[in-house]
Amino acid sequence: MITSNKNSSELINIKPQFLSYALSSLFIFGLVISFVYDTYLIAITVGSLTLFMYFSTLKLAPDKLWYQYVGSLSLGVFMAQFIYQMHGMLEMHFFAFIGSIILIYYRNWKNQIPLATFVVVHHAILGYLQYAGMEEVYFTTTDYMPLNTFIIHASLAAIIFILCGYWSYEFEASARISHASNVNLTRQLDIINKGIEFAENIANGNLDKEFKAEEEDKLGVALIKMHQYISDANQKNENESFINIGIAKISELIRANDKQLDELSDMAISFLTKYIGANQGSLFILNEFEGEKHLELMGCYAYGQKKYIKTSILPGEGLVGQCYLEKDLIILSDVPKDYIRITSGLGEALPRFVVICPLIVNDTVYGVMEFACFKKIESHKIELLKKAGESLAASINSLKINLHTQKLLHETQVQTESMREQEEELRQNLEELSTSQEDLSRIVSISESQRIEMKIREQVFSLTTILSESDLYGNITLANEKLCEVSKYSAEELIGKPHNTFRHPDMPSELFKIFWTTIKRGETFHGIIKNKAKDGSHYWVDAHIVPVFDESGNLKKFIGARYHITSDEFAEKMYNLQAQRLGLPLLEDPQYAK
Amino acid sequence: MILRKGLILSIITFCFIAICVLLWKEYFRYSLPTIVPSNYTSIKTGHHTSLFKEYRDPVLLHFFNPKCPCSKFNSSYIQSLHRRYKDRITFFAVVEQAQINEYKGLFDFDLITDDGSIADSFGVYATPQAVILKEGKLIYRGNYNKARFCTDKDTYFPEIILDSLLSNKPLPNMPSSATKAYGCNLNSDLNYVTTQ
Repeated sequence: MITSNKNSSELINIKPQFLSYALSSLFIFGLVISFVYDTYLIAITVGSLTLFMYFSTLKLAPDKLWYQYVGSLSLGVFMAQFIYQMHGMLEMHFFAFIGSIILIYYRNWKNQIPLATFVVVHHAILGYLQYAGMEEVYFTTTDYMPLNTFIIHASLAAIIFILCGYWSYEFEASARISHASNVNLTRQLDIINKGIEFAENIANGNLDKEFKAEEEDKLGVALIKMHQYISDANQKNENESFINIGIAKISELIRANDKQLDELSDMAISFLTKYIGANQGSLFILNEFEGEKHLELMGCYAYGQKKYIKTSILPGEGLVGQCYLEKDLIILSDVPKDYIRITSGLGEALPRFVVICPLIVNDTVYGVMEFACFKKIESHKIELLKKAGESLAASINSLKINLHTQKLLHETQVQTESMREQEEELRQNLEELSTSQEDLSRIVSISESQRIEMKIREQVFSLTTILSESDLYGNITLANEKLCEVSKYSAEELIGKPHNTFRHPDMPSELFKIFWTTIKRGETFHGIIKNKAKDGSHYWVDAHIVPVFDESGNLKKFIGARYHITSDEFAEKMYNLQAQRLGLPLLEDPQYAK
Repeated sequence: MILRKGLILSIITFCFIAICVLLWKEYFRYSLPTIVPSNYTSIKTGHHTSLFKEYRDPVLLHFFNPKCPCSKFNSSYIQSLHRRYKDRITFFAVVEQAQINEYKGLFDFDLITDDGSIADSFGVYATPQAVILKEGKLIYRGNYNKARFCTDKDTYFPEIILDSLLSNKPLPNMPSSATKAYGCNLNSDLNYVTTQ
């Protein structure tokens, strides 16, 4: 009977105090009516016991509904007490009804049962006693209560109890409904409040706050969508700014280290590794050595022992080499066991994620970067790597071009230097040349005066001396005025003609043999020779033919100087002496034959 | 939980029993006929005594015990009875010596302190009881009403007797409910019983 039904009392917010006040009031009422028939004793003792019974139950089990049932019983006891105190006054029976109505407050139809039971038992016992013939047992002031009156009385009581119980039940049901709707409202309000809080969080930029929408919470679902959208946008922004900042920093690095490729590589790889949150990184740069391409490790970050890393990779060799060939990213999310290990002071572990990114610009690969990481590298970081790769490729390219230019410049400088030296030499030569030219001109001027003197001498000579020059074959190359005067040839006629033009038939060929032999030996020929002039006349000359040698001692030409012997007689005599000396025939001149 | 339940149940039981006992002692007990003392000698109506002989008007002795709840049940009725008959009938409240201190002028008529002898003279052993005398002759000894609270209109026995007396009519026969005593025993009788 006394079952825990606290849900209903809790949900309707019922106060036990109501029954306490009601019973206390009834107790006081009992005291008041005790004046009528002097029934203090009963009013105090029975009333106190009843209250004690009720309050101790309430005190001992405040969490239960027992107090209601005991209170219900107490209401019955008070009714009986009042009936007694008012000497069976019929109106005191109404206290059963008052009690029943009081109990409606608790919206628990079961609490009518103890009161009803008490009333039924009370009336039944007394009624039974009355009907059993104990006429002196009265519980009404009427002298006699007929059965039908009792039945009506009991029926009315029953109707009251049933109605009150029914109301209790109805009120409880409606209270439950209103409570349920209240709970629902509170829940809705709670959901809305959470939604507001969530929205405020979004408004304040706090996007990390978790929020879970109930199924019926359309606002929440909409908020989550909004949150998702904003988060995505935010993430996108963040990613973009991540990329932009990364690119800016890389560019800064490149600017600051645009001289040394290895320094730049080291700085760039360590920056990128840290920036994308990878644990290990390495950078290979394409090198050409004697026409063979290979990727050379230029920078690394957090590698255990640098010496164990392969520092030179051929195109197509391993993933790095493959990346170079494919000119595209390679992303490994399932790293093989024997792949690189990430090491730290505490130990080493296998990375979960490896990204190999080519340094590519204008479809030309300049190098390859490799990153290893424990966690997945997000797509925006990979995007950054691509762009950084481009920047690095461009800078490496320009760096290489710079280096090449520098080399060229250096070569040019060297050439320029040597040219400058040559020029200096030339200048010195020129100076020397000009000096020598001056000398020469001086010499020339000297020789001019000499020439003039010579000419004068020559003119003087040509007054007396017949001068000619011939080549080694005897052809005349020079003829002076005296020769032309004596031989009666012009100089123009003579040049290029052989010397035997002057040959006179009186001269034996043996003489000329001696002549040629002598000069060809390099000795001067001296002799008296009869020559024939242009007009056929003859003239005698005392001839000296001198061979001339060049610097190297070779016979160069012959110079002939002759004196005109105007006296034939003297000349013939001289000649015969000569012929005698040479063993040649004498002149058959009759003049001389004597 | 069980302990608490048991405690509450025992409290309720205790209180309920206590209430029942109290109501019994103060109320329902008086629904039963008063125990007749063992040495009771019945005095029949018409018996003459020397007491109250000097009063010409009928005398009504109201045997009253201020300690007896039952005696108090009909006090207001006694008062109204007195108001109606005080000109023609002399009223006396008879209170035993032992309870005299509790009697505080409850009634408007004179008080007689009894040591038990007056009661014995008229065969009274319980309160409340009425004794009507006419020149020393016992006319009526019994209850005021069938109902303890004197609410039964047909059984106002003293009134019937008094009206008959005053109008000199023959006295009607009283039913047993008029003479069978309900209420508290007289203290003197109880003493007697206990001393037996």
